[in-house]
Amino acid sequence: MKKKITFKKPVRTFTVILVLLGIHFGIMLAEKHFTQTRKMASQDGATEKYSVSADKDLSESSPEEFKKAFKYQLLKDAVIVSTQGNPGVRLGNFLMKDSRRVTVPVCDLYPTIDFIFAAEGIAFSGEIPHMIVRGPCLTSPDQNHLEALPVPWGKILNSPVQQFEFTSALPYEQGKISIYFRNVIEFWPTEWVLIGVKLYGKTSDDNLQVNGYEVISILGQPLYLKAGETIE
Amino acid sequence: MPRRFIILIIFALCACERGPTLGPGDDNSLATASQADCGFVQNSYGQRVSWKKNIPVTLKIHPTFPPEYEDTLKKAAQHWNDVAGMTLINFATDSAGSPNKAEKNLISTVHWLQEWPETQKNLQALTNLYWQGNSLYESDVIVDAKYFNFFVDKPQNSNDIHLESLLIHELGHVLGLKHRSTVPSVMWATLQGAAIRSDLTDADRETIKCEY
Ligand SMILES: [Zn+2]
Repeated sequence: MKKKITFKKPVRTFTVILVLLGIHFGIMLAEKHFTQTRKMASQDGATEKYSVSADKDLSESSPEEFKKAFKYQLLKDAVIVSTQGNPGVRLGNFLMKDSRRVTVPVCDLYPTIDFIFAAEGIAFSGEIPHMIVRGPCLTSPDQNHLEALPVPWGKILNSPVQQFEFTSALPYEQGKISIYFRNVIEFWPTEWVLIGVKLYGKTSDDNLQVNGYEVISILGQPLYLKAGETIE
Repeated sequence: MPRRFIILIIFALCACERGPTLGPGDDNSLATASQADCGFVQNSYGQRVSWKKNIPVTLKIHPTFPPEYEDTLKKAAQHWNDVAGMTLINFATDSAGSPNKAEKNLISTVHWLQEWPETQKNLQALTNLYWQGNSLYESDVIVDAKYFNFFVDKPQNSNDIHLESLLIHELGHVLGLKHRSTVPSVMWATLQGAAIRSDLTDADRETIKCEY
């Protein structure tokens, strides 16, 4: 006669939790497996040119799918990095089809990028200070990211608040960054939150945008940039 | 009992990690502001920022503020108190010797400045506002007495600024209001010389009721 296995209540609860954790890790492993880095094959002979994870290849997305998919790819791994002691936002790269149906990185079609920030927790006469960091869209050497545009805080914090425009050269002659401020009146705010990203195409009506609420919805929290931050 | 306890802990941990709820997305966007602005400054989640339960706000009047204008300041606050049906703003005297500048120190103050940067000489006054989450915790008002002359009843010349109108506007900022440009309001960004704008409008009444 088989003995019926019975669990006492606390044992049963922990068993349920263990099973749930098992399912969770199973899903994580499966996800990792299906998004393994692989060489991209495209119809045009660009095979093996770009080495990015499969989910970053949006070249076959329908226009409807693309509208939101690019926002996830840009932002899901967004992080603050420090370049020569200056903080900037590093975003995710993704691939698209150009007008000749060739698969290319987003920066090939959208060569200029804006990072738009709002001061955190401060308003001067009801207006929140804003900062726009504008520069070239640069694909990182590992092709998985868009390079950060570092904000030269040392120079900014030592300038009068009336100065609303700064320029800074990127390392390795990769171009220059322009930084624009508005609504800064009494003092330089030092804590900023990312409230938008805008990629500019080669014509004035062609751009890709993400707003700050979308940043929060993807990351689960706002992305803060602090003056003098040196997180690597 | 232990199972309920564990489930409660799991729920509590999940709840702690979640920020304010964002507004829904649509065909093109993933999310929108948490709340309509209703004339208020909004935080990064799109929540209106206001003094919440920390009402009334106590503004300390710096000793440099001309005593003959204190009644005008209190009258300006009374406009907002009347539309809210409660005391939103009250006043106390700042201690003698405290610095006459709008420094961030957790104390809300009103200053009358004879020194003012030339590069900002078009500003009649300025109100700094500070918040954490969606709650305001400090606001400082500075009045530009270097580049502007003020009047209470009748202007001496066409550039004089009606002090009560100006202070109503600045106290609106203290309460968390931003500038308006599409509806009649005391929160329009500019106040012309000699102009009187001391009556709160329907838009101002509706705005203040969104938070207070
Ligand atoms: Zn104003």
